[in-house]
Amino acid sequence: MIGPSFEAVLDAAAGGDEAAFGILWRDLQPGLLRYLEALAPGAAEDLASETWLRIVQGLGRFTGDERAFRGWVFTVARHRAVDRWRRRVRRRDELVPADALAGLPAPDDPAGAAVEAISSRAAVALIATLPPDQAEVVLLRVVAGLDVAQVAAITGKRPGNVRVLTHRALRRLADRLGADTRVRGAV
Amino acid sequence: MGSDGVFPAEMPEHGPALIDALDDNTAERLVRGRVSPDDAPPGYAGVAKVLQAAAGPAVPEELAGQEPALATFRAYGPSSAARARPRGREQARPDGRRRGRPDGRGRVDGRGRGRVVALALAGVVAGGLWTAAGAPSPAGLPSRAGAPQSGGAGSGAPGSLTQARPMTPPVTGAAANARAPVQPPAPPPRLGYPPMQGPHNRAGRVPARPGR
Repeated sequence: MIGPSFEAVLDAAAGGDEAAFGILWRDLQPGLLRYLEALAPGAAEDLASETWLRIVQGLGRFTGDERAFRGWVFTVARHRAVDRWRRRVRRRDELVPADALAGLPAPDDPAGAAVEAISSRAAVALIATLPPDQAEVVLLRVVAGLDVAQVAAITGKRPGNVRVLTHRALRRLADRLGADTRVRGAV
Repeated sequence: MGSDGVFPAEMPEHGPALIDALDDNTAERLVRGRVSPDDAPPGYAGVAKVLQAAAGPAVPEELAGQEPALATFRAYGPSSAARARPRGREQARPDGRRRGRPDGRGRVDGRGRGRVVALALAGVVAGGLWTAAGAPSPAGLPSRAGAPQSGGAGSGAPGSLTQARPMTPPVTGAAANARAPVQPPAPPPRLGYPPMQGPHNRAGRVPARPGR
């Protein structure tokens, strides 16, 4: 989060100041990549680039505070991911790059990877193994830093539904990590 | 795929409640990263650790694309729009008065139109001279009397383009015989003076202005 200086930074960026735009980009890009990596594994960089292009083009017309700006950025990112998903559905023969697969942890061992390495990438990979709606809600709350109302608006769900999904996700994560710990202890 | 043959996401929830459910406040604090693993409720220490890691600071590889992002900003950002706006308007309106084709073709402004008319008239003059050169002058030099005089180069006289007929090259030889007899064309109707009685006029060439 940029904080109290956000308004000045946004105004400068909207006026064409590269340094100000760099501040916005560095603040949001890591979360954007983590969120998009869970939604579209292997395509996060491309989708983030598309997202920033839209943001740059609409920067001069944006009005709002930092909370609204973050919500806008992740809304655009989600639309990019959904568009890509629709394209993939139409083109079922699209190949997944081998490099992208090699970088991901095995589906049956993300918990161990997250607990041991505890890198942001491993943690996001573990969250991404949750059911898609739970994973997205948790990532928007944790990685993007959005509140319940914003997540509800972005995902098209009710705030109560977002809370329920969050609870289920945390519970499932705890179960998985606990089960992993128990398995490790038994072995 | 797990050892029991189902995908992890499809695995059933654990039957017995090994881990207590969270209250709203604790869940909110966990999600916001305000619960350290040591202070987490029983069974949620790993979750707190994972959530904090997911929201952790940026790693260098995540910020590696800053330069391309700045290039995008330069190319498509607000400042580029401000720069591109006059250029776009200039392309859209090459003459400054009306919208034209983006490639600049199709519309000719007033000055350009004058140039076109002048070039056409110059062609008419040159054609007339070339045609007149075929007829012997009294001094044995090519006659200039057949040159159109009603509208000089650059005059822009509306009727001058109607006199393009003298540009037709003279037909000689068998072709001339095949086309004979040639009827002399009527004098241009817009000339308000009587046709000259000279040989060039009888030959069907454009009469010169009286007094020349």
